[in-house]
Amino acid sequence: MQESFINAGDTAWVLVSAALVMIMTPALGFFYAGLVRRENVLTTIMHSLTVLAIVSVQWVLWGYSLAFSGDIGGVIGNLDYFAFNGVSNMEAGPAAGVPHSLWAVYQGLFAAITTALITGAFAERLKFKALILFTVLWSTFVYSPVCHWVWATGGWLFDFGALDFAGGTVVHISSGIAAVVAAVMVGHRVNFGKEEPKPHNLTYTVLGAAFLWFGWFGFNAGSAWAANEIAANAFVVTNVAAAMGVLSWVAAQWVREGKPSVLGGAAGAVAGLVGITPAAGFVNPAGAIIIGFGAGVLCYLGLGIIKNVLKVDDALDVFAVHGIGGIWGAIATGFLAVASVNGPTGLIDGNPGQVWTQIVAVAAVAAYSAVATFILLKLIDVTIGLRVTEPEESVGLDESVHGEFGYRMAD
Amino acid sequence: MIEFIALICFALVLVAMIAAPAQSRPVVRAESKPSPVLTRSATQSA
Repeated sequence: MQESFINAGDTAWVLVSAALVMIMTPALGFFYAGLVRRENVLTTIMHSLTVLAIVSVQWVLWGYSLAFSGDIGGVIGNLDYFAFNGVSNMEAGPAAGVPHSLWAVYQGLFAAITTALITGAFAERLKFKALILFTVLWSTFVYSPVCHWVWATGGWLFDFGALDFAGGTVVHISSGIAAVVAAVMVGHRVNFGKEEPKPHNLTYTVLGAAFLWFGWFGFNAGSAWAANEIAANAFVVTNVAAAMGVLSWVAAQWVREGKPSVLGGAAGAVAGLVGITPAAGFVNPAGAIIIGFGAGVLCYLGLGIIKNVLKVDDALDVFAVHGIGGIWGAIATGFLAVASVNGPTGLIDGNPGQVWTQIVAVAAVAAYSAVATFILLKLIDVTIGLRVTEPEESVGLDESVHGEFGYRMAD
Repeated sequence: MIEFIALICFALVLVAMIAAPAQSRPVVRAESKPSPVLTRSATQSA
C-alpha cells in the first residue's frame, strides 16, 4: 500500500484553522452591525455574508489561480488552477503534508474577510448591487495580485524579502487603504458632522470582537500551515498582542477623554490583532507586547485624525484600525523579528535592512490598493452608481433595500 | 532589551489607567423605560 503524503496533525490543524478563519467574516458582520444605526443592522451583517459567499465562489473559479498558479512577471499568477483544476486532495500544495485543496480553501477565507473588512467604510449608504460588483472586482484585481506579490513563489515582494506572516500587507493594509479611498469616493453619510453617530448595540460589537479574537488564532497560528513550534509561537503572540491592544487603547482613551469605553476595548483588541498579524511567525512574546501597545495607541490616535481633522466618513473606522494597525505591524516586524522564532531577523537581531524592505512592501501595497480601488469604484459609479438615494438612506437600508427589520420581534 | 521595553509598555498602560482622570461627565441616573415592543411581546407571551 502506498504511503500517504498527509501529515494528520498538520492537516487537522489547517482544517480547524480554516473553520476559525471562516467564522471571522460573520463575526466581523456582528462587530460592524453593533456600530451602525439600528435601521441598518441587517444590511451590515448582510454585507459580510454576501462577501463571504461571493469570494468563496470567485476564489474557486479564478481568484486562487490568479494568486497562486504560476507567475507572470512577479505580479500575478495565471489561470492554470481555474475552477480548482489541478488543486487536488490527493497531493500536497505549498504546505507539505496538507492537501492542496484544503490549503487553497484556507487561503480563500482570507480573501473573503479582506474584502469584507472594506464594507465598514461605506456602511449605511452603499447600493447593494454596487457591493456585489465591488466585491467581485476588488477581490480579483486587488486581492489576488497583492496576494501573489507577497505570498506566491515568484511574487516580487516575496523575492524582495518582505515579511508578512499572516497578512499585514495582503489583508490589512490593502483593505485599510481601500477603505479610506472608498469612504472618500462614496461620500459621507447624510448626517455626518451634524450629529455624532451612536452605535446602536455595542453588545453585538463586543460579541463580534470576541469571535474575531477567537478566529484570529486560526488566522495567525494556522498560517504556520502545520501543528508545530511556529504555530505555537503565533498563538502565544496573537493572544498577548490582542490583550495589550485592549489595555493601550483603553488607557489612551481614558487619559484623553476621561472614560474607559467598552467600544475602545473591543476596537483595541482588533487593533492589537491586526498589528501582530504580519509579525506572528517572526517575533517573540516581548515583541508582541510592544506591537500590541503601539497598535492600540496609534490606531486610537489615528481614528481621531481621520474623523475630526480630515473629516473622512470612514463609517466604522476601517482605515484607523486596519490601515494604521497593518502599517505599524508590518514595519514593526522589520524591527522586532528574531531568528530564534523562525529564522528571519529584524533590526534588533542585527538586520537593519529588513526595516527598509518592510517600508517598501507597505508603500507598494498601499499605493496599488489606493489606485486600483479608485479605478474600480469610479467604474462602478459611472455604470450602476454607488449610493442609495437620500430617502433610502434616511429610512435605513434594512427596510429600503432588503425589506426587513432587525428588531421587529412582535406585532 | 526588548523584554525591558515590553515591561515598560505594560507598566505605562497600568499607570495610565490607574492615574486617569475621574469621570469627566456627571452621571445622571436615567429613568428605566421598558421598550414598547418588548413590553407588548412580554404581555402576549404571558
